[in-house]
Amino acid sequence: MNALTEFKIMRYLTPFLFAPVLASAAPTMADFYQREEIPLPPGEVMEGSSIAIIDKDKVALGTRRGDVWICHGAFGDVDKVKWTRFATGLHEPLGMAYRDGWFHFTQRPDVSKMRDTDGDGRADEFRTIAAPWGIKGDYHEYAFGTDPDKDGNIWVVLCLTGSFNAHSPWRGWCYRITPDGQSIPTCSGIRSPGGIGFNLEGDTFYCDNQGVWNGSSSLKHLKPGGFVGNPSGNIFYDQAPNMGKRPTEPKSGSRIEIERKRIPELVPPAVWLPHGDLGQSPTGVIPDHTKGLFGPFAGQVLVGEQTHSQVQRVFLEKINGVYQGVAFPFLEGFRSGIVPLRLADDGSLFVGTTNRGWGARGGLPFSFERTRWTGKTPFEILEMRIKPDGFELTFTEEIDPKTAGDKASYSMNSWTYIYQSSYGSPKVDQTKQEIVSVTVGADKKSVRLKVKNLQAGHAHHLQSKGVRSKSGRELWHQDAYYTINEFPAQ
Amino acid sequence: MKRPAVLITLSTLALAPLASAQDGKVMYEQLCGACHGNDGQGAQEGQFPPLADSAWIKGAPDRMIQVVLHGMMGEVTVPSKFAASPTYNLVMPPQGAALTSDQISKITTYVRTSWGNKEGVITVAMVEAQRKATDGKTDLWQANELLERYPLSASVKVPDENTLSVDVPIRDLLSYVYTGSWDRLPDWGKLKAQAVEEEHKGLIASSQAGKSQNFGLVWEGKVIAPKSGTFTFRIDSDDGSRVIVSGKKVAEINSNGGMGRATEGKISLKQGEHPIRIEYYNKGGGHGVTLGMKGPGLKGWFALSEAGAGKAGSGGGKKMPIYPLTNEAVIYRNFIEGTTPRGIGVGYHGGVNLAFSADNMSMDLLWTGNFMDGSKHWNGRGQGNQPPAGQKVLKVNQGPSFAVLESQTTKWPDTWQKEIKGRFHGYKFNARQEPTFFFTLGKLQVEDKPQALIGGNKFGLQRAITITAAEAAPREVHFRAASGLQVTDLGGGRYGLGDQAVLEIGKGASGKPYIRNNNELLIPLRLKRGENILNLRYTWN
Repeated sequence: MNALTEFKIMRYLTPFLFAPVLASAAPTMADFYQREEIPLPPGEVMEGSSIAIIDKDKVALGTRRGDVWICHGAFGDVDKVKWTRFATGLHEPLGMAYRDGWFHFTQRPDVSKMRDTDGDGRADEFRTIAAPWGIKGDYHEYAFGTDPDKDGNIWVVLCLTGSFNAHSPWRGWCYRITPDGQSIPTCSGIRSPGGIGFNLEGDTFYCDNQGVWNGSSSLKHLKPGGFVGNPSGNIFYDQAPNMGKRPTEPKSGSRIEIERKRIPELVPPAVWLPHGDLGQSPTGVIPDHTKGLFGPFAGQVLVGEQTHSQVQRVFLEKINGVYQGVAFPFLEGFRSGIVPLRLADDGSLFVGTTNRGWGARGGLPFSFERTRWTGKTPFEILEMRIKPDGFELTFTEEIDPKTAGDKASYSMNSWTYIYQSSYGSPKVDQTKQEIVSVTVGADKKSVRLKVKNLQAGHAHHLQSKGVRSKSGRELWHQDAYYTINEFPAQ
Repeated sequence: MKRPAVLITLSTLALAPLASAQDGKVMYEQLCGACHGNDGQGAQEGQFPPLADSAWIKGAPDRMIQVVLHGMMGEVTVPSKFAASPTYNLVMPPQGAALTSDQISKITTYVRTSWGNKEGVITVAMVEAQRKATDGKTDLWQANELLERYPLSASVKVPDENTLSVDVPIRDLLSYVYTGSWDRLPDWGKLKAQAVEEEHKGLIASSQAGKSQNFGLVWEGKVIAPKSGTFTFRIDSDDGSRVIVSGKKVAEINSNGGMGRATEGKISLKQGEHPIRIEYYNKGGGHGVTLGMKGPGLKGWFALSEAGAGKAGSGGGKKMPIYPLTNEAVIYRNFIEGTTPRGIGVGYHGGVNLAFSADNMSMDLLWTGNFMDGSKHWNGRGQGNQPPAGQKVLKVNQGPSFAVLESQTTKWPDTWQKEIKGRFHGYKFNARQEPTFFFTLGKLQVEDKPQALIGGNKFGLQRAITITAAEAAPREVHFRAASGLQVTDLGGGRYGLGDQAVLEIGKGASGKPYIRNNNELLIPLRLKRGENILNLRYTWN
């Protein structure tokens, strides 16, 4: 049996192999994060599409049917919440924020804002800020938008017509909309977004789904002036002089790593979210801005997942000016597919869910849920940083130097995806890395892995099954997927 | 150490054939289960199509492999006892470029041999053959295209125990398609069919008209009574239907409404063939029909429709009315048939409704009665245009509502002219949630305020359009009050719109309105500096 076959069999058998042996020691989500479903008004259909925090008492939920509901008492006992309907008649609000009495939102036809001017608890003024893009009546032509950024601009990503073509103006593009309604074409290359948001540094990221020119789903950096991969919308470059010349057309069947050299505007995916392993349909993007109120992951990025009904965790770093980083599985068990997610200042994570039209795990057609940290820190890889000769792992607590310093506790293999015009890609160029040595850091909370055979453009799957904490605990999540775009000089 | 021993034991097991079946199940649950259900019955109580007992995965494997390789879109029926809906209209994403033939062979074999499915395995060679057969195909299958190439098996056989065996449920089945807008089954004798088709599968389906609204279907064929005796027919439909066997009306649902109103009727039949006639119409919203037959020689309910024999109270295709609350208006922003994609529907209390285009700054539609049915956009992925749910739909205008014309004979532009480009700025509600629309036309600022007129003998809409000009605007700005329907001058500032309504144009900001080609009503605007008000009143006859 060759290594690859053994690897394939082990991959499928792993859940069955280890579960019975280690069940007693395995940490579970409930140890660290408590998830509650918030009761919804009976008979109302509230398929979550956007969430905004209003204040310390109220949270707004926008729905796919175009309603915006307000949950009063959203931070208290969930059985005591009260709901009021603030607005109806919106056209699929996918992105909403509350600022100074206005709800800013992005919906299918435009970026708008609304407010209640007469204090009756219902919106009565709706202002359209900008509508620079075309829609032709195709349901795929979704628009996802961010909160206002540090300049007050809202970033919008526009799904392709049918998620395949650019049959309406500006499909496949990212626009910035200024507060006074100017529209600035900002990036090209979008295919089928599931959500958009900022990291803590204020850079903009979005999730694109597996599909044409996207071998697997991924978290992508919206670098202004950049082309993020799908060329269908590039026909509009001549109407966006600020974006410069139209990028060279990518060659189908190649690799992003190869095409990057031919196409200087091409921004590689920051983090691959390997299809099937880590979801199938990633959605919202938010930073953990709570400085420790949601566990030890302050500063990192949380990503929603609609098919597997999960939240993944992403640690990003910038190497040679290019974003890359690592995705970890994080939270799961939500009752339907997550689309919007929102972390409040106090560390309450709200998610809105739906499974209509795109199946999801969990069993419910929709739900609104709140998750809080129990205060108990899980034993996890906190950060994974690339080094010239491998990686440095930082853990959430002190490690057992014997197991964490033993190279047999780790294994790594990598792959990439074909960059092609067909829908998705299998894993290709599969490579096994060699963990040459492990050095435990002086702080006993980090290790330095010396690794041979790292591959640019690959997702590197690190399994850390043998690692134990000083207190003998195993890692809550033993898998990490690091995407290498660049190697650091030091 | 314990762990290595466990490893070795299970590794050995892994070499056994069991591994393949396990691979298929694991991969199925990981990649397909979220939509099709780990039990194959379609996730979320059948919102997604089942694979268990599904005609789509039975018989020759070609069709099934093609769906997995290239994906599929378009409306389908899924004959399966687990199908909770007469039709599905979703998208199956293609997997051919993301999965290897080995993976596809394992997953599809798992599906074909699980949950009661007893079909043959699908080998890697079969998958490869299908890849080769469609080498170069880059788009998704349209469902009707795929079914033409690989039709579902028509064999819904009646068990043969001293009974007549049937090859198809309804022999010599013909379908006749009609167009029309009805609230009850029409008098077919007065109508002329648009098309006639042979339905070789011997099963009826509302999708056989190839339309989504304002259509009728009549089917004629021969149904088999395997033994003499009393037979029950059960029909369910959206909207109305009627089944006539041997010239006798057996059951009917003669009104608008969704599925879930199944009606039964009995008839005595001698063993043998009998003529059957099924009549059906759909006004708007969802459509569907199920027809089942029960009686001597038949095991349980025998399906005469593609969607199965039907269920009592099945929910597929139910309408979801959107209506204003008392003394308020309601807004629906979505794809409304008859206006542009940036359509804003407004339903006023009392049954006056309009659709405003935020692309063309134009009131495109007016209608009375029910406002909108949300079921098209609130089920599945919500694709397509939804027509108004009410009556007397008046298609008032299309295209930009304002233009600069050199003369009264200049053609109306299809898109906004640069100097007067329309830009939508939103709307404000009054205390009754009734909107005033705001937009600009170049430098002109406009408020468009419609209000419902209900009561007495006036049933219609009052509309005040206020145009504010910073300076005297060019004299040749025109407003297009109506287009695309017959316009007649009734004198005294009154104009007939089609034969349905009358538009009265108040004196004020306008020069004399004029009609062109009997189907365009234009108002030249004399815009002064400051506010200019155009008053329009629409009333139904």
